[in-house]
Amino acid sequence: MLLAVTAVFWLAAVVRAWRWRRAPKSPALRAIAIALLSIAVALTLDLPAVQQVLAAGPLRSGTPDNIADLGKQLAIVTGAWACQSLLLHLTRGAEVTNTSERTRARLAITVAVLSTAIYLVPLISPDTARNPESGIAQPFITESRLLVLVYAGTVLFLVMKLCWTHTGSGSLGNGVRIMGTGCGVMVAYALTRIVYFAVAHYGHTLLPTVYRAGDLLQILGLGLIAIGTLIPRLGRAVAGHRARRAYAELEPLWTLVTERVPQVVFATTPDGDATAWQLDRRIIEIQDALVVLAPGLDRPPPVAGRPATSAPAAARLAAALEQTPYSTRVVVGGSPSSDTEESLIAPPAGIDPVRWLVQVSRSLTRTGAQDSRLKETR
Amino acid sequence: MITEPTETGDAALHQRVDDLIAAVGLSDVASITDVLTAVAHERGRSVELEPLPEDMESGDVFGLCLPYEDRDVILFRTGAGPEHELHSTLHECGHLLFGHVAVDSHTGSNPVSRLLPDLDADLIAQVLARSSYEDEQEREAELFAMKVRAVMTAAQRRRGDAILRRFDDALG
Repeated sequence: MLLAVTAVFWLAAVVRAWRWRRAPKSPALRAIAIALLSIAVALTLDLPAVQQVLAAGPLRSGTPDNIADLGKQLAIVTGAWACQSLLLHLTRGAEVTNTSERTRARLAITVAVLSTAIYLVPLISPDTARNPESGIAQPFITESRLLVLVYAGTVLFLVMKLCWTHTGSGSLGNGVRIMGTGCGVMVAYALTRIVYFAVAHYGHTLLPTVYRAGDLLQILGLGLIAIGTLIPRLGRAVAGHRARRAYAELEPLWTLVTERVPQVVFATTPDGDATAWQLDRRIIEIQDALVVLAPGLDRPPPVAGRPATSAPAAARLAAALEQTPYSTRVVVGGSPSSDTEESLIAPPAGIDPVRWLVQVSRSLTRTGAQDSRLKETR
Repeated sequence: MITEPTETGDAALHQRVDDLIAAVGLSDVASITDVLTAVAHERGRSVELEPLPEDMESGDVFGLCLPYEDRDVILFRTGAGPEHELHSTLHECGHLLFGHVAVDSHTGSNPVSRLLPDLDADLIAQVLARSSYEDEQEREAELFAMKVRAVMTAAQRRRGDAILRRFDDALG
């Protein structure tokens, strides 16, 4: 399970790092990329196989059990610092000052230095050892972890609060909500660990259930955070795929109407998301051309008693368009209805305009295909 | 097949439009009301929005802006749905914010003169119609409409929340 969460976290970290490389001037993107990479490193160091490779030998009482644990702690502190930086840039935007950045960096460095120093005390005075059987709850290591847990837990609580108070719609809103939930679960994880180590501080290690519950919360919380950061990107990829498909499906309709009304074509290159831009442009050009062509279209009689679905309306418009002569450059006169619900060219009420025009275009394609089949049989 | 953007002379056009959008505070605008408020503020006069009267709906004119002495009137063409009307309105807002005036000031050859035969000749000379993109002013206004509509779509998704916009930058 830990391996699966580590893999998802690395995926989220690599996606963010790749985005950061493409937009190096975005401080929020930098912060979230560093946070994810740090936690991915911490998770990797927590894997039993990695610990076996890095461990100096069998556990020696009163000394740091292995270098992987200390590395994990420092990675967590780095991740928490990056989360603090993320919070700063999300809440203040362009108003973030170097002073506020430095204050947070100083706090993180202080936690890192203090927790490392406490962690290494048993190396200097081995007589601090308490009980070789107490495993992870060694003196000083316990206190060091408590310090890191309080710091990271507080930062995650603040991220959770921000996520839950700023939710939008669509994949972005879902991603932020899931990320906030993951942070909330991680706060619960930090609390279970704080309780465990606080009890261990007084020499008791009899809370294995609390420790195991913490393990489960950690896997759930980190999994949700990783998925939450991936969802907005995934949403964009899906939207991009749909836009490319719609763009291709609109080709027959766009070709037909712009051959008749070529002046609506606006040739310019996009400076951002080319897929969304070109689909949007194609939609506008088709709508412009339809407005010009509308007065010359034969309005088919409405079908009595038939429910108002978009497919027959799209087929009627497609048929009317195919009968339109090519000579229509400027149509003077005519009076298309100002009531869009009755308009031949407007999408029926409640129908997305892109979906509507794709339906019209598909109807054209079918008509064209039928025509060609008929010709081939002659 | 969707083509990737290439380096062309359009870069300067994009820059001019981006600069205008930033200058008038439309970088995170969420509604047409906010855009019209910004236009009124920039021009120091009220803006009225009306559908193009049916007897004026003609040919390839999708919108008009009439800069009267005391107010600006934007007329938009109906028929193709609210998104198309919004686009035409934003195009005219672009003309107003850029301070465009009609390139062809001879009322006889201005296509608006045939639509608005009773309008004062001096006013016709300033009327801009959204029709084709042969001159730079039309290209600026059309690009303005495209960009502001994209901003509005994104802002509506984020419900005007600045923090959510930054989340979008960080997670998108």
